[in-house]
Amino acid sequence: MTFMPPLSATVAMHPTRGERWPPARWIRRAYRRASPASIGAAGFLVVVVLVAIAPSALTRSDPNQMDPVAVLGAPSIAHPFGTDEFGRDILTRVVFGARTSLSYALLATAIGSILGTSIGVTAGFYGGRVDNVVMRGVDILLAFPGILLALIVVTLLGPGLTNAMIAVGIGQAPAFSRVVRGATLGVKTSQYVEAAQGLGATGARVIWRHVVPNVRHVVFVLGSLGYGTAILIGASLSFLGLGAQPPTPEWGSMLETARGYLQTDWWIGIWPGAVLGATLLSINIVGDLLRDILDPSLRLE
Amino acid sequence: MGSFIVYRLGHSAVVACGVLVLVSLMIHMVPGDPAQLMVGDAPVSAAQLQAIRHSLGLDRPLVVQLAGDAGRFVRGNLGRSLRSGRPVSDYLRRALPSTISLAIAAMLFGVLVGAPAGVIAAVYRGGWADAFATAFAVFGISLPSFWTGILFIVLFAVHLGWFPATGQGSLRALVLPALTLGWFPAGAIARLLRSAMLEVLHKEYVGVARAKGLRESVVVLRHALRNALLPAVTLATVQFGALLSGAIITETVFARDGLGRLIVDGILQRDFPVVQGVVLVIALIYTLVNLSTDLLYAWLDPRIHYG
Repeated sequence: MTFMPPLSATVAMHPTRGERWPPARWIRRAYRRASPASIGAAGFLVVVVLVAIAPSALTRSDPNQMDPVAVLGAPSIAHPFGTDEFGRDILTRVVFGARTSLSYALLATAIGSILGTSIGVTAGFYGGRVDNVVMRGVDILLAFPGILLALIVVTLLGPGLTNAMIAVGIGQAPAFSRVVRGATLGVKTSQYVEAAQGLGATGARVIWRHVVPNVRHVVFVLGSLGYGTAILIGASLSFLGLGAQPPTPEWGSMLETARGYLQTDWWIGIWPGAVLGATLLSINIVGDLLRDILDPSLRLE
Repeated sequence: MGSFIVYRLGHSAVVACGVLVLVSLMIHMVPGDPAQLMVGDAPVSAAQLQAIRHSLGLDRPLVVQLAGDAGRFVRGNLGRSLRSGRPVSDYLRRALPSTISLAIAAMLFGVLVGAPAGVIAAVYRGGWADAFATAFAVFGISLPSFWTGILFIVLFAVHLGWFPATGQGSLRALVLPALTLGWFPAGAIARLLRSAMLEVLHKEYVGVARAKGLRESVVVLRHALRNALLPAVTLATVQFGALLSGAIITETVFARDGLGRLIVDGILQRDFPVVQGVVLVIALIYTLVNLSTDLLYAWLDPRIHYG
């Protein structure tokens, strides 16, 4: 069927570009809602990211350099965070650990958000039987709480941080698809989607051009919070000895080492954990701020 | 209500079946030959490998294996450990009480500390109590339990000597692990209850209760809290299922025997039946808890019905 669309329909196809979420409004909201805590958190994250990009600018260049003379040294001027059981400088390892955690978690979040968004948008958009089958599958995956799915994948593929992060990504996909599906259901009934379909656009085109741009902010908020979770689960798996393998500098495995020296050299574990904790705290605070700015109705409890 | 229960039961049954199939499938998703992976570099003959495959049921068609495995699991037969040859259910029976008691103790801490913290934060909004409770909540949600656990050990066990750092059996040995595991649900409950209370405290019926001249404690506890409690109850029950998987980390920190030790050792030794057993138990308990949460929710709030 061919017909000339009335002009108004063409206009209605893009009501969101520059209207519903103008950046000016974001900045205004960010300014209004930013608290000292969120400014501090954002600042800390900027530092962590910079450090992860160029770790050797701040410390010595080899995190694995051993020093048999300085084994288990207490914090000093030469080694501000002390040294570990091989005489390696803990400050250097904490700094390089930022690169490990941040980059691997990025992999996990990319897998989780792309996989989860594709599933959620498809299921929500097409509805019916596809939706039913896919969402039951998601329900089944959601029956494995938290770290369990990651543990299963590590069992199958063997220990290692890459495997662990693929696992975390797959583990996060169900939660993504749940929420994205919900958002898609809301977008699906909008007039601009109807208009596009009336014009004969294919399902794939409607999804790509109209649905995805309108659920993007949901993915963004979920992704920011999921990123923190990915860092945490990656560190947890490394702590269990199933993630990063020695001698990779990683916060979780540094804490695992520290667990063996709690009675005598307890300060080994303080800084890796403190930096990990502060990073997670900052991501949560900034993620909450992001949610307040982009979509206050999103609840991720 | 009746149709909701039927729907929800059916839904849980589907999920439980899916969990069974997925866990049975686990061993077949291993890249390569599971039997060869299991023995690693140990010198074994082809006949021995074949025997291992046979004991795992790997020499039968996939569908037969899946059906057999799922049926076996339903009957409670979880197979035998590849390392010791002892039934997996024996291991689970020994590990489960320790993990469950840890999860219950953590949940008690979460509710007994998190709920008052949330209420106090809402009532004294903007004050120092609010700031303190909010910090407590955000820290609890964000800080990794394996780090807080280590801090607790260093402070309360090594330096102050109040509680033992490891071990189990005694109630005193449960305190530090329960604090470590319970901080997250405490923070989550406090945060949720705070926002729910803030919402409710603005309602008209709270104003009416105040206007009647009721004492503030009665207004807050009987009129406001009762209405704000519902989402917190849901959160608390859902948290309980998640605590079982969280316990895996906490048990490792405090060197407790439990499901966590069992699954980590199982993964490192490639003892698939043991891993399958632990995964199955946690996932099924979690499903059961979610089911009872939804039913509880529907019972507590008559406005909810499936439609």
